Amino acid sequence: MTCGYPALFLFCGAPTSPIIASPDMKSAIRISSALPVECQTEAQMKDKIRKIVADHARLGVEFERVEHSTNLYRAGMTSFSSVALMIALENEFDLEFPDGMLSRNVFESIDSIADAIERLQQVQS
Amino acid sequence: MSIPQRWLDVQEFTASESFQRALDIAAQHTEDVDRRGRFPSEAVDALRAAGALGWGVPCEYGGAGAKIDDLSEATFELARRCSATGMIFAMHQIQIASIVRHLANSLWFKDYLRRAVREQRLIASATSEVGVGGDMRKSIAALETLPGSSNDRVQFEKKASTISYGAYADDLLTTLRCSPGADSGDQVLVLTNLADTQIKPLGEWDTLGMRGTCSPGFGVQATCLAEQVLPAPFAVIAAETMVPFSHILWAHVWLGIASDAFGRAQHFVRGQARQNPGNTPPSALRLSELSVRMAGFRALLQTALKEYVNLTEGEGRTTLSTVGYAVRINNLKIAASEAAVEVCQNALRVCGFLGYSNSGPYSVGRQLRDAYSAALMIANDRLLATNAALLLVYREGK
Repeated sequence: MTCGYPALFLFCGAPTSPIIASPDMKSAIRISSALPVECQTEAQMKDKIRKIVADHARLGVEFERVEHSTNLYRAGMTSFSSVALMIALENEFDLEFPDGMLSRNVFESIDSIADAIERLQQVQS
Repeated sequence: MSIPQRWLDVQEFTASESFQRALDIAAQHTEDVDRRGRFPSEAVDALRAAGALGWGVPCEYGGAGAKIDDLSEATFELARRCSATGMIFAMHQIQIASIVRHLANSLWFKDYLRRAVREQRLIASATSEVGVGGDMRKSIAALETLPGSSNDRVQFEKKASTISYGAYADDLLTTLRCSPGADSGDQVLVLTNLADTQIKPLGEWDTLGMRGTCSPGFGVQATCLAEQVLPAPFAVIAAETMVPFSHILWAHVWLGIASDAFGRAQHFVRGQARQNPGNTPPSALRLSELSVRMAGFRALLQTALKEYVNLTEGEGRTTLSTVGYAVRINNLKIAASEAAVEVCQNALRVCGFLGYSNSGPYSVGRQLRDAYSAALMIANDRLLATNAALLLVYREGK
């Protein structure tokens, strides 16, 4: 994962994945503001997601029992709390989930969220 | 009773003599059904005679393999004659689709579908529950393993706040938490034969409209085979089938009710025009406004139907679980339920006191009373609140 391109480079060329149809200026600027964020290992990213899930997903079970593969919806996350989670993830990782990614299977576990964020970061970097 | 092995297309079904007879019978009894708040047994029997209850079952299980557009058409035609019959047909087909589209490889359910067609079984649903505040996606009651049954038998007890035609159905689909320790949103769907299910009405069904659906609350208690639990989680069944099927078919019931009211208003205006040839009666202007509203109403449904048909086959099916689709299908329900009331209200203004009368060819009181139920079946306020939250992350704004 590489970080640190100046914002200008983001306007060069087409996105490498169909996930984002057209990265607009706003998302480019947002990403440039994310430059201080250090590159993370997968484990660090999942820990960070885990903390955000703990704060926002309002699960009905004890959080200690939640593993990376636990289905968060089955653990009590509602569509309302999933929206709060999505917004918190966007803030913490400084990105925007495109509409096509706002799907139940993307947010169903810490693993699937990490996978989605990684894909987005690859496209946006 | 002979049931056709396979309908070639929707026209063959809706134009069939036996379905036309069901439509006539529905129309013939609609006023009595409404006045007495009774189940439209004549029309439902006629639908059985036409084989219509098995229509949504795939041909391989003996059904007609009808898709949602065929079912919408039939629902609309029925609801124009008798809203209760239209709603009962719609709800039954929603239950059939929930089974057909999520049975995976369950032999029990495949066998059940064959039986459902052969015996023209009517399925009701107990997705509501006292104490969950109208949220279908939450359950209090849970499925338990029957003690000493080595996990092959299960039992449950549930207080459903409403079960439409619960006292007249053959089988019941019930939402439950998947186990006593499960979260309220971790649900499954269980099919039980009502002959083996204890159900006790919890109250009366004496309502403003939709009186013939006979939908009081019921206490439900049953023991059944573990195989009678649909293999897919209810979350998936709801997102991919039950919610879109419900909103699309219900919307066709409401379009049917509105069309009936519009047709009465149109007859009224024609009658006025005939009394005074050469002059366009003042009520004609309001009727023309109403026809604009009806055109929008129909277009709304056609768009939703087309999108669902496109998405529902193959890979598009996962799109049904996205925030964007949830927003759009909720919008359909809200818009259609409001359009139905608006059309009936304006038809009343066109017809005046002849419309206000409880009888006669221009009476639209029943249609208006029925239409008022639309905003309450899954409360519009709940859907608006859901969309308000979803729109915080969904940006496209389609």
